[in-house]
Amino acid sequence: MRGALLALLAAVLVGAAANGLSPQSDATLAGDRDLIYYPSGRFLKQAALGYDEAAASILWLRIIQYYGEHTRGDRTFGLLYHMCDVTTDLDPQFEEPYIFGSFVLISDGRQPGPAMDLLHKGRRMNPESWRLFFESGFVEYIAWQDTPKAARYFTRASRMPGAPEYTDQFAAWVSLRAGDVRTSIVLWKELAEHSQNAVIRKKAEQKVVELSAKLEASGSNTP
Amino acid sequence: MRTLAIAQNTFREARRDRAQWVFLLYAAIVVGGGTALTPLAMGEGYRVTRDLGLAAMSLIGMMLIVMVGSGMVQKEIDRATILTVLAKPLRRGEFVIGKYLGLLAMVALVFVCMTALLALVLFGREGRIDPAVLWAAAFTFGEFIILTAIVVAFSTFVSPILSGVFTVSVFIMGHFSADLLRFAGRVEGTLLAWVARGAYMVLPHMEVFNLRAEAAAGLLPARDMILGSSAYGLLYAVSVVLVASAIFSVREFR
Repeated sequence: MRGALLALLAAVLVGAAANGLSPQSDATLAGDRDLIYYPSGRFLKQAALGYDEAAASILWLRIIQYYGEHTRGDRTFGLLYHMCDVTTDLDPQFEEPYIFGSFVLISDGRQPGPAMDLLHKGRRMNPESWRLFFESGFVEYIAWQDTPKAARYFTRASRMPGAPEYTDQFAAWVSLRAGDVRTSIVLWKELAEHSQNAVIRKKAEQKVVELSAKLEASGSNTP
Repeated sequence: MRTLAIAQNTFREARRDRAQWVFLLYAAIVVGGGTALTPLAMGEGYRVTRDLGLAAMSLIGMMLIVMVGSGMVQKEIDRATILTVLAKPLRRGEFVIGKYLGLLAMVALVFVCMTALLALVLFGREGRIDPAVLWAAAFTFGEFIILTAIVVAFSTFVSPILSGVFTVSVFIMGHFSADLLRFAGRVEGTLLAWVARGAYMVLPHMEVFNLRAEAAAGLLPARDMILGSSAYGLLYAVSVVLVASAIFSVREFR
């Protein structure tokens, strides 16, 4: 019994030493290194052996981890588009990587081009998803200030199955009040209230506070 | 009746091997993994649990079949119990069928437990059970019906290690079988096209039983698909067991 306990203790010590010496435990070597060699979605789809959805779910967790690491760190999201692209290659009907990916690319990454590419892919793969059309309208209005295009997306979103009433109202608002800060506040408020994603909700709430302060400073009332 | 006795014995033996313990591994993945990963999934906890649950069901089922099935016949030969069994009025084919049914019963028991656990966990999370998830799980059992036949067939004429390696290889290649047909179309008119078509005919079409994408989209399988897949799975398994019986009937034991 004593021998077994000693052996167990030795095993724990040796294991801990091995972990300490492992190059993977060096934070400078870990991080994004594995992501640089992220294979294409097409390759992963073959390698997933029919477990595409499970692989996409695992990659989704990796996206969240990547976002967390970079939010606390350098606040650059250079690989985010590729990660979302690969995940949605594996499961094109998985809407959250399109929405979350494009949102982060716009709000934190300042990469409106890749954000729109991601949403374009999402709309192509899910032509009946009001959420993707709504998000496209949001990105068009916030990032590009393309009011007619944003209105078109909101209108299309409102005609899709399951679309809430406010999608139709947005189409009218952005057309009537193009460039108005109050319209932006309403859009961000909607995200803060209805998004299932905690990061998007928090960001949207911050944006509402920020824009409301800006509006108050300019002397107008909030909507 | 004699076949049933062999099946019962095989089932008992598999339980003695504590094969049902792999269920604990599944429980750890679905309950433990699902609970731990949900807060990290940003509102997609249900999806992560469902996808990992269905994938783990298929992979753990495959592991169970390989672990228990690959040495099943060889064990009888090593212990020389095969001589006692075959000395009785029992056809060799009946022995193989009994082994197959016994192992399949064990796999079915674990499968039912895994499905019930997944349904319970998902119900606890959403307050409802999506029928598409249950259909995806049911189709996974089609994979098991075929894999069990394949492992029993290999175990009648190769060593346990080789039997395990071959079964896993067939499982992997079975998921690529549709690609063989596409490849044959590209090299039409060549010998390679014939080889690819031949391999396609022989290999099991594992993707027929993959309804995980439909489960993710909440889609239910059409009636034709249910009937076609069931018929394919059963007929394929029967043909493999018949081949195994033929091989086993000419094997000599000393």
